[in-house]
Amino acid sequence: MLKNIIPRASSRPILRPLTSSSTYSPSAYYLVPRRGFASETQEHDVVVIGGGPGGYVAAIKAAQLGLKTACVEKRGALGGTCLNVGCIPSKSLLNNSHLYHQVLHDTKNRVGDVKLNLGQMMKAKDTSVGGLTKGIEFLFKKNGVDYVKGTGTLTGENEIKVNPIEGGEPQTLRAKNIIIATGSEATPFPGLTIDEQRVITSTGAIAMQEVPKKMVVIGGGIIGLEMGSVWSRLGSEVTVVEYLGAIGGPGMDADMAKLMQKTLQKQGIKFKLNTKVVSGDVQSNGVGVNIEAAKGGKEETLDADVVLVAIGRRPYTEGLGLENLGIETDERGRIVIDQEYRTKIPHIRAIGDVTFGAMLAHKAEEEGIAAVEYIKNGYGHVNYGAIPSVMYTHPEAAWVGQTEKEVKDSGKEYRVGTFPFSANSRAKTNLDSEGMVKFIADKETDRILGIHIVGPNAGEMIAEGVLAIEYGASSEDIGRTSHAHPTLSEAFKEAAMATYSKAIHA
Amino acid sequence: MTAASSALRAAAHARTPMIQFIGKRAIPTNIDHSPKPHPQSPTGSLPSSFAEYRKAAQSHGPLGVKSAGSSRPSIEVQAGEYFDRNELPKRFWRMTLSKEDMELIESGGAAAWA
Repeated sequence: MLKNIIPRASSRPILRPLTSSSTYSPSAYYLVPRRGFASETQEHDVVVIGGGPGGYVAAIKAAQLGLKTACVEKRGALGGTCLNVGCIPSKSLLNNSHLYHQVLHDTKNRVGDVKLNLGQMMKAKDTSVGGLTKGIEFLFKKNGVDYVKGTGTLTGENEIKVNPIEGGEPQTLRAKNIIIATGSEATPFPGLTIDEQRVITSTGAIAMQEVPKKMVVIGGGIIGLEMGSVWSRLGSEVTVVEYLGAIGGPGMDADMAKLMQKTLQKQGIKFKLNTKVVSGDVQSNGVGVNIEAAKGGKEETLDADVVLVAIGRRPYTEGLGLENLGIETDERGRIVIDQEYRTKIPHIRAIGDVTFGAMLAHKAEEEGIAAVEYIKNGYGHVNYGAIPSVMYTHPEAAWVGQTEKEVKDSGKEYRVGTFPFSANSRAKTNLDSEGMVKFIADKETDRILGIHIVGPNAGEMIAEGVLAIEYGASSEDIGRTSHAHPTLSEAFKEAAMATYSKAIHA
Repeated sequence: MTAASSALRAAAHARTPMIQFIGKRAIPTNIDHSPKPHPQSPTGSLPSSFAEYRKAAQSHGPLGVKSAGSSRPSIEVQAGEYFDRNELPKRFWRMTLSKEDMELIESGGAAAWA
């Protein structure tokens, strides 16, 4: 009987390549398990743990390159922090609160008062988020990525145990390559327990049910300023407490940080720089935030209905099982990797917020693609000198490359060229002309070293700067490139002209 | 100086843009895959475990397969050459079927629900 079912001599090889394609690997062959019906193990070329911007992009790219791919995500929705509780919902709130603020103030004498419907604003945000997360699921189906909803734990060098979020038996995935893309979480503030009601992170800041009368933001970086802007526009009295002497974080050029602070102050946000938060006292009706000068001094208490903790983010590796395999993290919890994103176990790689570098969604995406290309082709590319940063306040701030201080500290001789939006025809006619463009270029070669923008649409405009830096352009290359009139981008061209020669309109 | 010579001199000094077409991107032929610190690593160094793991893996682990295999003759079966599975090392032999497995096969899987 059995002989009829399973012939004694099979013509099929029992060893087969993992994929039909030429995957780069030191060990391209493995044993195929024979008894599929008796095991829940699934074999993949690549399993990505984490479905955020780094993870889902890596999974789609891997599938596009012909690798059998699965993506494990425990949130229940793809897109990670960025899409679910970060970049995307905050941009919805920033856009709609800006519209509200503009109509409320700029057109008060023309069309009358407007009334805030916060519930509707939150609904619009949820609709945007829902649509985009479903979009990624569609892309997974389209590209043939297996979407596994559960918590992934490394249980072996090629094995991931997945506990389904919807209950049921754990599933085991076997993978020739594993990419860890578990992202990051908000760093808590010592002495203040996050409850997402009175003491909140950015996650709570995008989901508040009412506008707090007073809000204290601990941390004057990008997240703190964006969320502070939203609630300030909606009527909250916002105070930003920053330990350092400037806002915007370490990447923002000092001139731009000063300009941005001045602009946000005009919008009503208060700043306490060079100030540290000593402690917090959470009561049922509010929070008392005790502060003092960073170098020490007299203590002061700020009363707030809500405190937003925005002092940074830390890698998220809880439950991942790194300790099972001895995969190292550094003192900040970042997974240690080499130049090809490999951990000490070469076929286990890490990308995005969970490892070195800026915690930016687009940086994680680049790394996701590069990591997969290393697996498939043995070669990938990310230019860390050309990763842009954008702050979506109004006006926006955006930059790429080095700050003036960094260039100065390097000892290189340089030129600076600036152009204000107040001299740009489109910005003037839009009645939206705060800010400027600043170029920093090598004095000898004119090669662009850094570009910094504060102004309307800075986040879109910086793309031209990123391309210029990626290609090693000079300021004259930009200045001699035709930019359409009347557009905001003419300010970009004129700042370039001011770097190697002179701007026309300033 | 004539107008013509002035124009020629200007042409000779024509600006050369720094942005150049770099051609279709290609994978470099010689890539050193040995582990080096990631460009964004704050310490600029790798823990010793990276080298230690590779050393162990090259001795008796997955990283050793490529170099060991490449120095051996081809495993391709020649025309007219046949061999039995059981001539291979034991790990390639057929798995022994248990009584339960046989029941599952013979019942088309229904025995699992009996």
